[in-house]
Amino acid sequence: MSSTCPQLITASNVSSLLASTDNLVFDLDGTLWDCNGAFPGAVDTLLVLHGLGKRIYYCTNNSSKSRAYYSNKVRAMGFPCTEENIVCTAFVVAEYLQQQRFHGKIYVVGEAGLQDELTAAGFEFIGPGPDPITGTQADWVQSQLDPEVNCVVVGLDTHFSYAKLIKATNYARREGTLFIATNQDTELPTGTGIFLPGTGTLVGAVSIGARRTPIVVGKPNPAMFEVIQRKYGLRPERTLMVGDRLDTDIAFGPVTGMKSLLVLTGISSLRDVPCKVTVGGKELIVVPDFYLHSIKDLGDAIVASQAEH
Amino acid sequence: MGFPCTEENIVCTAFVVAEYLQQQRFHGKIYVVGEAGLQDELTAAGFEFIGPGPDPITGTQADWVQSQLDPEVNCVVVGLDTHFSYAKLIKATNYARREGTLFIATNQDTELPTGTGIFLPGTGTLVGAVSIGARRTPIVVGKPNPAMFEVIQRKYGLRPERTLMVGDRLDTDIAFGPVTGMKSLLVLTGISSLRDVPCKVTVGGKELIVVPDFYLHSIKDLGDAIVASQAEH
Repeated sequence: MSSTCPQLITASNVSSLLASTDNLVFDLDGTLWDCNGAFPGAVDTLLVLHGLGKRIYYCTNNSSKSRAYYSNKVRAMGFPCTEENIVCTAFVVAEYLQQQRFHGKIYVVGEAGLQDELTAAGFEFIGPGPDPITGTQADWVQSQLDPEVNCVVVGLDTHFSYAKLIKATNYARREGTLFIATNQDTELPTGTGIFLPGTGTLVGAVSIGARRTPIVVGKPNPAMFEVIQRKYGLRPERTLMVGDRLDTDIAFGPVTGMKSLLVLTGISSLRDVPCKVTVGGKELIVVPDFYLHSIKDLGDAIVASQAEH
Repeated sequence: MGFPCTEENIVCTAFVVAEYLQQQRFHGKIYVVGEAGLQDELTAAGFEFIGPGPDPITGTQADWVQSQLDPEVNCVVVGLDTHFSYAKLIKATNYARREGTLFIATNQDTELPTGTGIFLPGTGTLVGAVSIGARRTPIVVGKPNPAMFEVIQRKYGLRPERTLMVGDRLDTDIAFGPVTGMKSLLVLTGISSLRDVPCKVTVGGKELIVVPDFYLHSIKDLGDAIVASQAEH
């Protein structure tokens, strides 16, 4: 369904879009909410879609929290949701390792999300929490690395330090070690003038030191959708991906076969279209199938089209 | 260690950064990701800077997004900093994203030589993190980039065609040869081996095929060869 120009969704085309869509996958930050709370009309729109029998999934690259956390947050805001509707990268990493029949011990650069999901899946790991550098270079080169570690997972870790970088790179350089990154977002959405570095910055540091590139599970890489598809049986051609970032949410469209809707309440604008994105070594030219100024406009278009009939 | 040397014979990236900033007539304040070397050389050159030392992350995201950045900072220098933290990454990337800020990296070495089985990440890993977050690439002053040799040349008047660069790394020391016009000698006591020759290295966006002009198993062999050739005459 690619075209050179994204279509604005209106009352006149929303019915045919909904008729060909069973599932909607929503990004969170910048799409449904920002640091000030849910966007106006977001909850109403999703309740309307839920009322029409559409299956709704909430999909985020943010690895610092678990499905349980996001489920509580999303429900508390009034969105229709259970833990089963949440797809976050921490959960996807655990699912991916289970699907790969991984056995061993994991060195984790990450926070509560990865800790909770890996624990729930029964995996053994070390690493999370503060790990400030101590001692001198003479101490570090005598470091005792854990011989059982055969997997490195890198997610967002605000306790990142040179000590963690030493460990992650040494384990990732070890023969036969699996190297996984939750996502490569360069920044976290903040809604203020301060930019917060995203997981992509930490993955970059470890990749350079380890001299290898990780398997990246988050949007727009296929692993995330393969986990969703295997677990929920979604047909991509009948699924609409809704998000605010061209290089993750919307690029997820051509990578998976889903349709895509760009909302202009977050990171990307129409000026950024078309957008070149490299996924798995392949360069894609990303153009959303549809766009809207905000998620409220989707609900308004649906209500208006229903009023016409 | 007994080598013939005065401070004038030393060319280290901390010194080169200070010299480079002086040559660029830099005025302002620098945010430094770095240790004693950068602190000492920037202080000696009279530059004002903030940043070095431990800076562990504290508080929550709500605090960080209200951070007060120093409005006077108009330059970011990234060197090796074993106190690197997410807090430093926030500051370095925010300053580097600021309009008109100079962004300099001392070097891009991926590792420090250790002589043990443990690998120690080099400045290149930290520069990578900041570059990705800042969405820009820095001016890199260390080998094999030309800035380092330009500082040496301007200060000491060296003619590259009459200068021999001796080192153990193909992608820094030996690549310095074709970049500057110096001759190059690879010693096999460190990182690179002859199996790594030829070596593709990208410098300033240009891909070079790096082959040393000469090689030796160790530096001792150079002295032995000189002595042996003198004995023959």
